[in-house]
Amino acid sequence: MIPAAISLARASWVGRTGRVLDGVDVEVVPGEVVAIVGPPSSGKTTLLRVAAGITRPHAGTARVGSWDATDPAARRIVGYAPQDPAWLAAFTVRELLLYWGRFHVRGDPAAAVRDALAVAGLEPHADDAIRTSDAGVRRRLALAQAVLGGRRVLVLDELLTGLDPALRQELAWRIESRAAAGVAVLLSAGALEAVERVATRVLLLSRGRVVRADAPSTLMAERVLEVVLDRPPLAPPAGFRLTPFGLAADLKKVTPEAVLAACRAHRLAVRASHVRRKSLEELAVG
Amino acid sequence: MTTPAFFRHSLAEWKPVTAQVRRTRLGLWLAAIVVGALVVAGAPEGVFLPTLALAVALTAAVTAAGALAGRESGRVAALTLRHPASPVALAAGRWLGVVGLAALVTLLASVGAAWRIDLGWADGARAALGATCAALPISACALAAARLGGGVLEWLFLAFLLLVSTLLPEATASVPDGPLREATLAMLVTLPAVWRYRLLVAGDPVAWVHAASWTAAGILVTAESLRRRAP
Repeated sequence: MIPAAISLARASWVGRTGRVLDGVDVEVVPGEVVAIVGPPSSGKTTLLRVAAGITRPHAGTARVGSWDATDPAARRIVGYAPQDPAWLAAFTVRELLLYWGRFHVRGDPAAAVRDALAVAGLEPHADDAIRTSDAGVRRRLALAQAVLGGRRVLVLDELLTGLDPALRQELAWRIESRAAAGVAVLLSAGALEAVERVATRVLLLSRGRVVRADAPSTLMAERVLEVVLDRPPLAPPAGFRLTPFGLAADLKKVTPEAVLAACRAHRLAVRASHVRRKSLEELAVG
Repeated sequence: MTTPAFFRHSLAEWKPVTAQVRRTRLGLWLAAIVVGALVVAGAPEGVFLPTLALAVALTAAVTAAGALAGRESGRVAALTLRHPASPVALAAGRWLGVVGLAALVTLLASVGAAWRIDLGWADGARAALGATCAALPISACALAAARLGGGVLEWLFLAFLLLVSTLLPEATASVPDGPLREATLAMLVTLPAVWRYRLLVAGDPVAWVHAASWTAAGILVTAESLRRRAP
């Protein structure tokens, strides 16, 4: 069995407004890309901060390799890209990486910076001023600073969220390449679409708990049939739930035809119907 | 962290210092301080060079500290700490950067002012040396003030330095007995003060111990503030 690069066991974290993480278990092995997906305020960023050793769990453990995640030694191997990173605007992209490179490399960090620029696809923008660089360059820079120094574990907070599809696909490919080189990657996203290409496993987080763990393709294959009725019933028949326009039914084990037949059997006049993908909230409740 | 790594990480901070001087308003502000000193030196009523140098050094130190320890810079430092750097090394590096800038500005202003008032460059350099010694603890405290209270606390600190702390403790004898006198005396004796740091260049041991204590305190407070600032 491959030892886990990141391992959270029964990790809990309590914030000012209450429990943010509630007994979370996460393991990421080298070469794996695990995505934490959940709605806003579900605890994704806190989970990543605990995994990266920025904050200590209030209960449970967080380990990186054989170290406690907060151990300074763990920082040598964990690269962290925050959701909203701050850049020193007076620098160019290369200068900023050279600055950080000095903390990793004794002597000239040029080679480490060259590698980081290549991993993030930043070579054409290496001498761009950060002040005038666009969001795409900044997102690549977040990845470059995280991989700087040949880190073996990457913790990437919403790195693929809010990007145009082409850039998202390219960055996903770059993250996959790191995983193929044996790097363990833990990343977060607010939507499944952002990580469907890159994640080998998705952990669905809801109110600080991991409620589901599956392959992205499995989660994205789950469908719901929505039925618009002339007159919605007062109580839903078995296997249905009420919606403002009629009924909805999970298509996990039944076909749309069977659901519509059930509507007819209950003498419900169907005006229209359509199949859609399950939302995050629906996936979370199962 | 090993000692060589600590120094390497501290010296790495020189890179953002030079970038800020070259590409932000910090460079303009520091240049304005030099020009202002040269204008003052040309005043018909004359100027006492060591006092001018001291004012330049303190103003430059507080200005540079504000730029190098401001909010955005603190957020960058927080991300820097995700790389294998220690907060004390970063704070020490920033302190060195502030002292370096204050020393450079003071040297330029002092030598220029000496030339304007028909003194030799050596007199200017001597005045700059004395003022730079005073800038050592002041830079550390200005960094801490900028981190803890932002620009407001920083400029209050400068006002205290230039307007209050130039007085000798004996001057409080003219203040009526009471809490105000006690408080003023306590501030002049315990806080970083110009009257005391004027004695640094002469090698006064009490002044050096006082300055070293405030330098260490300022660096440690800055380091703790950076450590607490999570990305």
